[in-house]
Amino acid sequence: MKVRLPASIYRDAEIEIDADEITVEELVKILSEKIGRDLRKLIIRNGDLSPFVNVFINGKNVRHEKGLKTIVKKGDEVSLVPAVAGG
Amino acid sequence: MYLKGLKCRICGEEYAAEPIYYCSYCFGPLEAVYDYERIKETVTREEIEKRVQSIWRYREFLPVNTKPVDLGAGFTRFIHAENLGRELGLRNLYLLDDSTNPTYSFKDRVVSVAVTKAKEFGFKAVGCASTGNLAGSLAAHAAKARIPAYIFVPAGIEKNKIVQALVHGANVIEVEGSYDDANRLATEIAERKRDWGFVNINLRPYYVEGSKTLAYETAERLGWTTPDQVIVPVASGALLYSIYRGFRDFEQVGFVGESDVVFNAAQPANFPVARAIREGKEVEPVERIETIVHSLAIGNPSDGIFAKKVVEKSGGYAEDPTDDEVIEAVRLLARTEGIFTELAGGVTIASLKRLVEEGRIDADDLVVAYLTGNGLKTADAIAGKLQTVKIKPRIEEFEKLTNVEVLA
Repeated sequence: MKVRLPASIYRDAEIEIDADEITVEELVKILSEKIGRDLRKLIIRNGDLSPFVNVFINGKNVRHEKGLKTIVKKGDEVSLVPAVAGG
Repeated sequence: MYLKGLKCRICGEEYAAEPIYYCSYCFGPLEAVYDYERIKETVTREEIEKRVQSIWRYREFLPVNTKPVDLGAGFTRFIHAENLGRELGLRNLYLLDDSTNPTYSFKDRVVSVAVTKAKEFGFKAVGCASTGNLAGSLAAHAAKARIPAYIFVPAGIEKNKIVQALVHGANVIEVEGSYDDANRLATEIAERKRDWGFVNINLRPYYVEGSKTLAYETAERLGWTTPDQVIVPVASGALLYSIYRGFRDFEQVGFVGESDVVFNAAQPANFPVARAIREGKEVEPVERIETIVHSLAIGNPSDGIFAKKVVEKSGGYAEDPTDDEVIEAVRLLARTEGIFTELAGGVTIASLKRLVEEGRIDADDLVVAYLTGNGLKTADAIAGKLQTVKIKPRIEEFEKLTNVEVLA
């Protein structure tokens, strides 16, 4: 699976993660190990997905699926973006 | 410049005034912090009263240091709405009407600030995701600033709004899906194109400052006092939160006394911020809700929790009128005050009507309602509800139709 992180969190445009089927929560853990920075504080608040970040799997917001428990599969495209809108 | 830097609204981490918009420790949104002591020493109310009639009369409270990209946004009509007030049972109802801004919505306030900041940062292009009003405003300001604009809109938005953006030469990209899809794409691009300024994304801490001027104008035009209650339309919640911060700025420098403005939120039926306030729950984003009010149709309101906090702390409430109530309110305002507002303004007036009927606003309260855009932008949605009559070109036909004697 391919993961895109905000530029200020990780310099490279994409990170490849080799996994067949994992939850978003597990993905966050693997990503943290891979980039050497604990992303859990950024993405998880009070055990749930932080309201300040959106996680999309193939363009679908996991907030409208099962949140941190949403399954990511091999070949999926995951995008983490700060939650800003409108104004 | 009186801007000291940026600060995370959640964890308080401080940052220099750079083109960043979220905290790298908690993803919390960043907001501008000012040196109020210096502002206090520099400017007086009397001096402001003599200045240009635009948002730039309040320049010390805005986060820029260069010549503004200015089409004349702000200092729009502020009206004692006696007719509408009588209809609703309010003696002191005022309307701040942004339908007369240069591109006919309040967005000119925020965009003027953001495009000025984009120039200050030396950005090569500007962009945004938009439900329509922002598109038109950004395109116009980018044209004035001679800088290319990339505008992402949900496919199928009102044609009027796209025409407005296109005519100024912007690149308008219709994105299949909802506003939230267009916004995600714009945010992903903003994250990687570091020399582009997406006004409501990576320039957001500067952009939202423009909306504070609605509070400044309200206070100044009420004789440097604050109203008892305000009604603010809510999409992301940034506008309501910015108006709150505007009144607080003026308190900080002593331009108004300690204010206890009651904030009321207005959203279309079933949208998340109003629902959270009404049900006393957390703001829960929604994927899709049908409404005719596209300019407020943001399912994932990023400033929703802050808007909710302001409303609740101030003792206010939220209303979420139906589409029919919204159209009726647009017509009521047009009939009583001669103002044709966009559907978001209809949401505001319909909410005001409900607040009065529910006894949440007293007849003598000094109330300010914010009308954020021009009715011609969303005329299609209302045209079907209005009718003309047809006659042959003969006086007799006119007499028959109206019972007015002409030939007698």
